[in-house]
Amino acid sequence: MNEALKLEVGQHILEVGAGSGWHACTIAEIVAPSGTPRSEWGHIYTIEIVQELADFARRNIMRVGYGDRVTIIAGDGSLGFPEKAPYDRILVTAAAPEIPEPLVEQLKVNGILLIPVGGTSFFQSLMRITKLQDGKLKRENLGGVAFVPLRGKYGFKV
Amino acid sequence: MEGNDWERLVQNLIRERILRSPEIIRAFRKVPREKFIPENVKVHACVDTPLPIGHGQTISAPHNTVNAVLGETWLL
Repeated sequence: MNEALKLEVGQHILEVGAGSGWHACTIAEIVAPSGTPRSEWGHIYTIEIVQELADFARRNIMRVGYGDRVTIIAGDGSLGFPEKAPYDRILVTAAAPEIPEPLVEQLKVNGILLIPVGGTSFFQSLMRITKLQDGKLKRENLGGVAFVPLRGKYGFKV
Repeated sequence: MEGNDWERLVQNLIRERILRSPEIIRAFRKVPREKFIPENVKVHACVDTPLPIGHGQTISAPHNTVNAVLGETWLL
């Protein structure tokens, strides 16, 4: 089988929805593996809309020693994080009503956005969006998934 | 003890062919889920199920992280 995100060492990554910080650290271990030179490391920025969870994730990330490869930001991830754009990969760990335009804008050419799109009733389609050379988007439906609803400007109004 | 339980879960995911890529297997071994969850649910850290982390949010079940987030396979 394929790997939807096609992660590689050195990539610059944005995650929307940090939660506990576990995904971000797992991904960090792939794009910035322990034991490889820091000059080859990628970095992952992860945004969390719930302030308390952002604090929780930050403590976890620091405690396990990934603070040098993972940066946590408290804020509205549906807007992306333009300060560090563009990204090789953007993944969204919550379901959106549709694909947020800012995330597409913050993607590099040949970059991949992985995002569950659909309703709030815990059944959505996992979409893989690839930004092509001419700026057009290739859209692939990778199948059914169940995620919590995305909040924020481009999320669900809850 | 917890380390052994996590290794058992990783081996189960490999056996079930959910975990396949060496890079993701390595990352899973390096970053055990138990270090990211609140004390009150820590006893379930090595069970392949989502767990509450407060504020209505959950930490994913390990197989789901592989499937959907790391996207090693799309077969749910």
